[in-house]
Amino acid sequence: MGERIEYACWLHHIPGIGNKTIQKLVEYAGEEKEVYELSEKAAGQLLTKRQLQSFLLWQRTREPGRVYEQIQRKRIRFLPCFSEQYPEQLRNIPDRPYGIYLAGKDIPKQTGLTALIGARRCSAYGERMAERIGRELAEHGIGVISGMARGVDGIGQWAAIEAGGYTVSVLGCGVDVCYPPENRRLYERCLSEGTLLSEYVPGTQPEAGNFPPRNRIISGLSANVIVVEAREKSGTFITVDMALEQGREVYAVPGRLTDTLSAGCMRLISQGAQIFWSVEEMSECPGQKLKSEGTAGKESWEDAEKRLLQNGLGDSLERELYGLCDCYPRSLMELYEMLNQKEGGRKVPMEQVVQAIMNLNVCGMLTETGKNYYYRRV
Amino acid sequence: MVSVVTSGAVCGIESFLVQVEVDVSGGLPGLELVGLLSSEVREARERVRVALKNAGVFLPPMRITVSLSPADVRKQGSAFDLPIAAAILVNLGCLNKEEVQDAVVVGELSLDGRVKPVRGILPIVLEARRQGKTKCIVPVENEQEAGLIEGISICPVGHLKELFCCTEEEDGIGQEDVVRIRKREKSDLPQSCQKVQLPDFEELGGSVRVRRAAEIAAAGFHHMLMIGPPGSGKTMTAKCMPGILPPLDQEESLEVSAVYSVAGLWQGRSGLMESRPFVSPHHTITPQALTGGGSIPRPGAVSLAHRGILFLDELTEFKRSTLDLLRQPLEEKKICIARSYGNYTYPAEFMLVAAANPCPCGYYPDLRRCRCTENEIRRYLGRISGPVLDRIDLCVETNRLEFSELKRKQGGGQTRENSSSIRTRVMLARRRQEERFRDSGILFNAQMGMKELERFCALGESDQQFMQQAFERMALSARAYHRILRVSRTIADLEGAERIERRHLSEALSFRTGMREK
Repeated sequence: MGERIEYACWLHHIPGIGNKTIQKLVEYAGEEKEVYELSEKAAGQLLTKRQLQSFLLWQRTREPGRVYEQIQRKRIRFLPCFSEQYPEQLRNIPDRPYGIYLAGKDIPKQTGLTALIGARRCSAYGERMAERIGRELAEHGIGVISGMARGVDGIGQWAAIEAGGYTVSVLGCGVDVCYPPENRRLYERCLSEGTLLSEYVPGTQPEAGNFPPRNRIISGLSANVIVVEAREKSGTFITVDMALEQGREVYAVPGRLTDTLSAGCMRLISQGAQIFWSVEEMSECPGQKLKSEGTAGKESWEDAEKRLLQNGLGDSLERELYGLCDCYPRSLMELYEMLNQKEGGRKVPMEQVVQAIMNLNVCGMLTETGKNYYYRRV
Repeated sequence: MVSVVTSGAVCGIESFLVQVEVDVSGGLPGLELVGLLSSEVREARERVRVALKNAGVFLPPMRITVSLSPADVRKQGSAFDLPIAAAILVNLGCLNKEEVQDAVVVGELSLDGRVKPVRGILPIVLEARRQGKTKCIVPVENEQEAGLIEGISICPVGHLKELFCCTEEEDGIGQEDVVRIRKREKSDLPQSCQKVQLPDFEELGGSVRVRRAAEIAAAGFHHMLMIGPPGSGKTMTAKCMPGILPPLDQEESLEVSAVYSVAGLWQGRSGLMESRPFVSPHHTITPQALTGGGSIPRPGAVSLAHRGILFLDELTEFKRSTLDLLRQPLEEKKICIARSYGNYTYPAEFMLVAAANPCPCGYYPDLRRCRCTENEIRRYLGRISGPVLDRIDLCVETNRLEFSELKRKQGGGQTRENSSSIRTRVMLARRRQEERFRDSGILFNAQMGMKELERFCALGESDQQFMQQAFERMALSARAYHRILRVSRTIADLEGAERIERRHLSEALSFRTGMREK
């Protein structure tokens, strides 16, 4: 068995020979070891000219044992599809990866995983939702699986890890490559507290073509897929299509009809996706429930408003401005104009508006995204 | 016999007097010039010889030696033609020694004997007055410029003949031809330059915030940055700003005029600079043009904007290396240019007004229209060098103009405040600052150092707490914190408040320079 892994790893490493070709070779030869020992003539029947060249080169120059040792030295584990540790959920998806590489923890068998995906360039609302859902999933003991991309992916995973949860990052590059570089901190945390997973050989650089196929692994490993924000034409739909093909449940976080960034979610809902409402109401989440949901940061708007009043902070202007703020960021100018259009005749000077907003901001009732853009803390 | 005439030269913005000594003696005939001269001064030899001939003076076949002292300072420019000619004339007895004894003589000669204008008259005349000279003989075209200085008489000459014909009566030139070296009465000069029509804040659309920021910046001489989509009135606002700055006072006006005089940009003006300069270089500007330079250094854009506004439109398009050159002038209010033969210092105390788009397409953070990626935006704003950004006190976002704004522009609706009433408030705030910083060498709030901040920007107990919270919540840096204090001081001054209060701090916080703290 140990030997078989070495041969499988060697086979998986050959450049130019992908999932399907490996499958073909193994079927023809019987086992990985025999593939290694294939003659040029036999291999030539199955491989293209270029593949054959690369195959022969590897046959001559690389020893299976050494290849396997190299990745082990990097503390990366290789799981071929015949391994017992190979995730059960992946085994049955169409075009399953022949082997996967893992860094960090093993994927725990009993934890349910939910995919949390969405736009890379998300709005502040998307950020908030990703953060909230990531946290809630963690609090319910459900792992978050995503692509560690910018935007929704990374934010959701980060929130899950911060809340003490578990997360799997499925990468479009080798597991020893951090992409995107902004998510370096998340990468490090995944390495210590979560799992990094890739079907690409360690050292593979993030090439555009690598990303769509990895989405089938994201959906494949998860029980449910939650889409936070997506434009009408979005890469997120690749994952959604895969999820539907694999029979996973798809949830969409609703937005406003007018938001281009929510258009994709609305389309999903109109096509029959479920509306994401709360983690508890998601069907068949196999994770065991942690204690009752934490209270930290889960204050509803009404409660927040009450707190504001209790703290004696709010004069009527502050309260009014708070009411005008939304979970979508509004600029200072917008708020000022909205306030002065509200009931004709009244004119609140800018200085007062600025002061009230700054008060709200400094005491933490509002959050500032870009400069002078504010939204309510949810 | 040695004859001496005094002339002047400019080095940087300063000038110094030069003694032109001429000796005529026996030996091989010729005209020899000595005294560390640059090539244009050395060429004066031919100009002077021919001009004298055409003015009717033939040089005797003797050895004429001209020395310009101090001999160890490099002399440049074409202003030495006339003094050399004058010294020779004195030596030959064609010109009364007394005529030029207490005078400073400058001017370039053309071959036919006419006197041509030169650069840098203003600082030379100033220096002449300082050193106790009573008279300046200058080219007729420079008369008005030189006449701006009180307490020294100006004698304009248009032709070399005018210098000496008065003393040559016996030699055949008729009495009626004699043109005495005229002394112009001060009252002849038009005292002020024509008012340039500045755009007015009244005509300007745009939000209250931008107008307010401009007012604060003008009151405290704070550097300002405007960020916003194209067509949101950034450039217009900047162009309106000279109109709300207080006019130059006498001393400032002389300083600014001197820079323009040295730069050779005086032509066509009649009177000291009255309104503050507004310099708006294109973003393709070379480093030399921005800071001043060239093999013969001349003031650059930063010095031409001295005591006025340096407006950098499309700040992100400027080359990083060019922008970084602004660091010294922003810090030290002057610019030093080193050349192998000396250092030149030009003043550069300007107010930096900059405008930039928030992203390559210009519409961020309006996600409905902006299609730039996160990376593009970061890279775009990253082009502005941090140290320059660090010195900008005020940052304001401009918004796209709404239709109602446009309509208001065409009349109807309430009218906006015009520049002159904003200027009144600015002047009041300036007066408060003058009072506060009397004898401390500081003019504006923007220049306050740590000591002054502690003294004049003390906060109350609760305000201090508020600032502490803000400091933590907004992740401010120490420098940003101090900037906010300075700006709130100006806001309080505009209001006439003695102490800085919560509302001033709040407003200053909303104008802080935080491009994107992500």
